Amino acid sequence: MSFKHPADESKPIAAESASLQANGSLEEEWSRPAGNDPRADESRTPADPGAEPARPAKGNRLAPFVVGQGAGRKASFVLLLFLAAALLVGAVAAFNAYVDPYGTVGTGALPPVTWTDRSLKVNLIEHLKRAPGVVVLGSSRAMKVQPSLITSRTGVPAFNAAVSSGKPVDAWTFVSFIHARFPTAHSKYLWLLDIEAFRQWPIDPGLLNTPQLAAYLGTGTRLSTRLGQLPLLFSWATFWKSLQSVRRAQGQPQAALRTTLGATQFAPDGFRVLDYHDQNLAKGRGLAKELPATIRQGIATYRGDYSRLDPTAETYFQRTLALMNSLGDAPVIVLTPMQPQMLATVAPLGYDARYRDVLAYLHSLKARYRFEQLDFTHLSSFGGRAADFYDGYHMTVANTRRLVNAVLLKAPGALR
Amino acid sequence: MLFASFTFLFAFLPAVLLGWWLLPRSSWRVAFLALASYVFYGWWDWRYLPLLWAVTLSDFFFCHFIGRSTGRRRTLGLVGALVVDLGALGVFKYTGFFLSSLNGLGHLLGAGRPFPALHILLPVGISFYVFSSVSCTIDVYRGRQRPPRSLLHFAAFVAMFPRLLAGPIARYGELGPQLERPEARFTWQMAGSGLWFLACGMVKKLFIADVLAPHVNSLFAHNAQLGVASAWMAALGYTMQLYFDFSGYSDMAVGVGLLMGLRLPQNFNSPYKSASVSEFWRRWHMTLSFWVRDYLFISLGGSRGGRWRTVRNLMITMTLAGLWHGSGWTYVLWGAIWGAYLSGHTLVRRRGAERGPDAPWLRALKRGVTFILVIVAWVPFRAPSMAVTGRVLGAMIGLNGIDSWKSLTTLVGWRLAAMLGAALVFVNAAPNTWDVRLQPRKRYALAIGLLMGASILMINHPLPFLYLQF
Repeated sequence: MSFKHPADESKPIAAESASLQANGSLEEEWSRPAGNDPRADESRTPADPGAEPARPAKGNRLAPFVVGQGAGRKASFVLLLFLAAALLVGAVAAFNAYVDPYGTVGTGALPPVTWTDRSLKVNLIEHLKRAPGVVVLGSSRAMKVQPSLITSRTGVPAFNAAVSSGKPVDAWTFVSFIHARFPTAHSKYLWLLDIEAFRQWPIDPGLLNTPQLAAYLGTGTRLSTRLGQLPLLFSWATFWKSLQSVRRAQGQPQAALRTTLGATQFAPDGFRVLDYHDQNLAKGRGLAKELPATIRQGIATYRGDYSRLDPTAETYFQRTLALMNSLGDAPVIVLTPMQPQMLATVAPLGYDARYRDVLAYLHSLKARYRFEQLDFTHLSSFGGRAADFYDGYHMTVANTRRLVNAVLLKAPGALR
Repeated sequence: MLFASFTFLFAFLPAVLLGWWLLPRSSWRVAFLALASYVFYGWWDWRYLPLLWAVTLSDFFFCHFIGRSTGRRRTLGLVGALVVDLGALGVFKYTGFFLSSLNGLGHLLGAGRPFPALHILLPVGISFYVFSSVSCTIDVYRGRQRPPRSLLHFAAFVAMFPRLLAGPIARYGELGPQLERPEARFTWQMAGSGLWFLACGMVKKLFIADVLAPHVNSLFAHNAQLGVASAWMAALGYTMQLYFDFSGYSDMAVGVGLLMGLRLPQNFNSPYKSASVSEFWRRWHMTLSFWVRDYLFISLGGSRGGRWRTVRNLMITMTLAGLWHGSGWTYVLWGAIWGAYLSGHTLVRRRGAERGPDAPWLRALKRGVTFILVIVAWVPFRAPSMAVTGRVLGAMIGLNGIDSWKSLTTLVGWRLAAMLGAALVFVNAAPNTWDVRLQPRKRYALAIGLLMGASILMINHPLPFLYLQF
């Protein structure tokens, strides 16, 4: 069947372009097959002899069947092709699953190669000779709290288990892990709680990939996370990490004590001795230069999706309080401060509203759980100084020392 | 949904292949293909779907309107279709660009910035499906193509997922007959051929283009520090990245098509083997090149009317082709450079500089010169602004001086140099994917299977195909 259009008006244009392409002109050159291309005519063969054939544009061709004849062998060709691909992918994935360099599967066969501050703090806790008497919990804002100061003031060994972007779920897993590591000890907890701790936020990958902590997340959470991370197993990048993991683990079944994470240095008691804030400070990037960026972050947080307290965070918060209470401790919960300029900026944007929500929430828990609550949101409440911040969120050691002193003054028996 | 993703390869594609080959009636299969294509497209963003439907409906209507009409009504139909198609492209792709350009002009003339800055969401693949769709209408108008048999067939043609997002820009004459009478039976030959193209595309994209990408990005990001050698390495790196990325995508599209028994047109024919700028456009993005030849260059009068009219037509055609790629002055410059190259080649050719087959040394020389011209032309195509274009091109001609050994090893590094060396050998020596003929032997199956498996293991962090932005 060939098509012939009835409309005569179209002929001049068609004829014109056809003649243009046939008169040795530029159009003809533009249409000439490139190089030694044979322009196999197979592309014009219709599937059905009675049908109008597919017509490639002049100078072009349609995809050929590159696999040749040999009817009996074509099926085995395709099946063998699939088998080879599947075997390679399967072998790499099985190796990755066994070595589990990111803690994706949770085999725990070898120590992870990728360290986060969570896995590092777990490693430090595993190397503690005796149980900490006081444990500091919280986010990066609490990582400059010196356990040595608490020890010197209370006489009991302390450990800083605060982690970057620490949320109630992190507190839950750390308290559970410390209890499992030292089942007979009775630790006391100093929990530096940010108003942003109740913002809806996915569980940190660093927590999910630390098997010792992820074990406390519950089967459902772990399973859904593992499924989500399954594609990681089918990857060369993971394979190289697995090889590294195997090499590092040779003759070293348990991870050695580790106190560095890139350029960040930790003390064996969990204190973050040297971090990027200190490095920025050394380069002349002090508060004045760092503040604007964190103010922008704060504005984004409060103009964004933080319109109510996250129920999941509340659940983990209460679960942690219940565990602490069941272990005989009434934790000290300290609402963390912000740099005053930062606070003044975000307060009208939603911070004040969420702050009131957190206060009301804590108040509602008073009847069910035992805990001491200190509100250090404003610097004046603990004698902090506006200049002793690295940026809008993070206090320097000078301020954290003032904060710890104020805690010991206002809740004298809580940490002893 | 990217071709190089687990979701596509292990969920979407197997499901579509099962449905396509198991459905008993051809009309059901075509409807299923259209539906699957809409799911594929909506996966990116379902808000883009109504525009795709509008373009499809409009061209289908105008194809039949033109097919039934005579005289001025046919022209009216064509104008109507062009208004809708080019209007959609204009509104969604170029409004922001033109307003910001007018604002820039107003600012220069001291009139301020009279227009608001608009950020209209660019529907992915719009340039590709609009060109495919409108080509059918023009072909019907020119009497080269009957109107599509049904809306279903036309919808499946416009939306066909293997080529929807970044081509090949197939025409209805190429795919329509295949959809109207799809292959009735699955054959192992078709599956083997499809898997060959799919594997080649995955290797090109995941093993070469994606590995080059961070190096190239880093070099262009440090454009102010580039010396002669590092600037050339940046441009060469992008030359290779773009080719392996886009031809990899095209191979995958062809492979997916073949798995369904649908044969897409060729888009790349080893373009860096070209011995002239004209030959380059017969080998690079062939479906776009032939589209602008047939619907733009010829419509403008082609090479009739003398040398300077040809030059004018080439400049207009290639500048518009540049603008088709993206709404920015760098793309306009890229198109103008190609217009100038092709015009220069036309003028030289007409003076009789090209005679008969070349001696091997002369062809090698021409290939070298053409390749250098191509590398230079890719600079504005890659650079994010005219300022960066100027800096990189300036560095290439030595305005930034020669790189120190230290800066060369820091900026470029041995790894990139080795990869580019290997890529250069590959593009010059390897046969084109389309020209390979495979006997169904075990060793080939093993090799292709291992290549495919190795590529699958690279999928975890694939970068989007470069041409998806157009």
